[in-house]
Amino acid sequence: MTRVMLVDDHPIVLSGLSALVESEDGLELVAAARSAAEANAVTTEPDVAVIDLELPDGDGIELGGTLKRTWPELRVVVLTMHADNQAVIRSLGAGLDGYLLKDSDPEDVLAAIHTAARGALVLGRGASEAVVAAAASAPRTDALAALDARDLEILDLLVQGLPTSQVAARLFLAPKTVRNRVSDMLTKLDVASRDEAIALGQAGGLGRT
Amino acid sequence: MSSAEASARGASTGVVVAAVATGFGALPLVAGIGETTIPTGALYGAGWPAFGVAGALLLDRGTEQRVGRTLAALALVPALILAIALPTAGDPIWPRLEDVWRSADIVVVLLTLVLLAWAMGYAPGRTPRRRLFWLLVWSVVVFSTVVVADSVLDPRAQALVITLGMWSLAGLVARLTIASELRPVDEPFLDVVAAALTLAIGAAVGVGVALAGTRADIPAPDLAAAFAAVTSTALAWPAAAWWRRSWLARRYGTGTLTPADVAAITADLHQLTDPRELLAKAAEMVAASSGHRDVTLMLGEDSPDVPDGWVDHPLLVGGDRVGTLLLNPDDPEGPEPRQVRTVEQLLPTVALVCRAVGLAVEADHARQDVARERDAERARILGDLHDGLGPVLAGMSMRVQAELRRTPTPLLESLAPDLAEARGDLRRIVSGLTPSALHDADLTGALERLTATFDGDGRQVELAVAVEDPLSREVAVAVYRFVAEGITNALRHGRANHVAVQVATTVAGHVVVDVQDDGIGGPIAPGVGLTSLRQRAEHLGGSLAVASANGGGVLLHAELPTKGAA
Repeated sequence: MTRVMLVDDHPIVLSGLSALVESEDGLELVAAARSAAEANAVTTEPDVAVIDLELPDGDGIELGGTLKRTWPELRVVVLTMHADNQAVIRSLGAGLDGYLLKDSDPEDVLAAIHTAARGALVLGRGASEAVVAAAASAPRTDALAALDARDLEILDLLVQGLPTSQVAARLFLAPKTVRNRVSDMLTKLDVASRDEAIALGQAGGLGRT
Repeated sequence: MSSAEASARGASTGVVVAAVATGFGALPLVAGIGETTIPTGALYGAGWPAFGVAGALLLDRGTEQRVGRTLAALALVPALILAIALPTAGDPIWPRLEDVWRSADIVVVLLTLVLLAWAMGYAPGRTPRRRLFWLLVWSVVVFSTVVVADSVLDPRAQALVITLGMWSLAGLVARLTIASELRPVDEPFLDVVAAALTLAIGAAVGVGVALAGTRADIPAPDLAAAFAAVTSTALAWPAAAWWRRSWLARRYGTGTLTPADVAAITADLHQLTDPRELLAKAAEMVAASSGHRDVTLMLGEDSPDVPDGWVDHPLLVGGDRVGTLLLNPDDPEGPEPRQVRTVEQLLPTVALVCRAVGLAVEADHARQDVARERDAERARILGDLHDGLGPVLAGMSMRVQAELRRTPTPLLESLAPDLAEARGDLRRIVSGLTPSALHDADLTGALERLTATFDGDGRQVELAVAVEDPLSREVAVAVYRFVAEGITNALRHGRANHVAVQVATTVAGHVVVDVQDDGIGGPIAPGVGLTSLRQRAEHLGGSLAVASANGGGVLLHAELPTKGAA
């Protein structure tokens, strides 16, 4: 019998997961927590913990690490709506055992828990390509949202590697005007240097002609 | 007494002094006019009073006091010579005065020239330099003429030559000192060359006709020759004038712009999408019409740093500064006054162009901001859908699945696939309508992930991507949305089983998207999705067409420029 602990702040997901785990032979639900604090208070040792990536009082990956220190035998699977490469790398780096998308088929979720219990790595397994694609394309917040078209035009040319003088020439502006707007831009983006702004612009997809 | 009155009085004092000096200098001449014929001794000094008149003119203007005073002093020269002649003169005094003049004329003329050059002085800068140049050139001419006259002409003619020389010098000095601008020294030579060429042509034709006429023994060959010379001179003059004008146009620009010039400069304007290109064109026009090497236009109220050797003009419309015109003249000393006048005539027009372009750029920015806000709003809504509705559907699916395992009922059995369908729809809405699938700029990958979401249940979506050239982000997003909308339409409304998607770039710099299905086809009502896609395609400078495919389905065809319109 595999003892399963569930941590998710979304009540519908938590009750769905609980029902699903309880319906499966060979799985036993030992705890269903809605926050990191509740999870830390659990005393019964589970075999597998399924933890939401974003908890109201903390980060799922950190909680997984903490629980693993308490119970070294514990297998931890991170559960999320987002297929986020950074989060996958982070959870693997933290020594966790898998990464699972909430939107997967319910049977696949159960299969993933079994896989994790056996000690194998779960990497989006149980989630079809379509699920991963949709999750990966979910909108994200835009770091450049604070800028308007006038700023973006300048930042775009800076990202392309043009010096201020050429940016000014390209936009028919005085170099002084460009310098002023760049310094305004740094304030809007809340960064300290031009290079940081350029890095943000690059990450935001600017500089591609 | 105010300082203005003082200076006015000072000026008039100078004029009075110059007048008195002129009077004294003219004494011998005035006395000579009393005789039946003006004696040669009086005629020798007749040129110098002209300096007094010129000096009075300059002193009255209050500028160049040194030149004015020197000229006034020069007016006294005849009186001085008279004073030298008087002690040894008999009665009448004229022969003795003539002797003094004849022995001293070259020295007096030379001293006069040196004094004039000293008074004019040298100062750095274009105008003083040209002034001195002309004075020296004319001094050399006058002096050599006087020296030649001294050896070949009789005294009376000599006196006349000197008088004319001094008058011309006085006139020249006054003109040079008063002139605020002087042409480059080579230009009058240009005029001289043009005139000489014309006259030479006329003379050559005249001589030719005279020789031929004499040989052919026609009556009055000289008359025919003169007529031919005058006619050919008159005919040659326009050619010389044209040559002179085109030479000047190369240096100063055309001075005006003809409609043909404007048409040539703005020929490719309709292909340009950035209104700012108009500024480059306007700068070209200013450069062409005013003969500047480089002209730059800048938008905005900031006054830019002016590079060395450049000249700047602020551009004003209704008192507001809308931009700056920067000019780089060929001459390091700055543009010629003629060029400045041309530029000043063009300034109001250029300012209006700047204003118009500034407004167009602002409008373009506003449009982009609105589009971005719309995209951000859409992303926020889709994000809420994904993060809000997604977990709810996932949780419900799990509960239904759990119930189904325990106590299967027909209701649960139909509910589970419905929920799965709902999750699929949500995924497609989220992935199909947001450009964030393109965050990594890999259109092919994004399209593959997109088509994969439709695969299954016996339906097949085939994708062929051949994108050779980089697409601008805007175009990539449009292609992505076009494919997503096309497949959705085919599967949902066309009830298709097979959808073929082709995305390829052409050598002409376009990306072509075809979405073809084997569905029921029939009349196509362009839905909201298609309408907005068409608008987007047109906005990017492309087109979108919907047609019935050969196999009975529907073919969506879109063509977009790879760089987009903006």
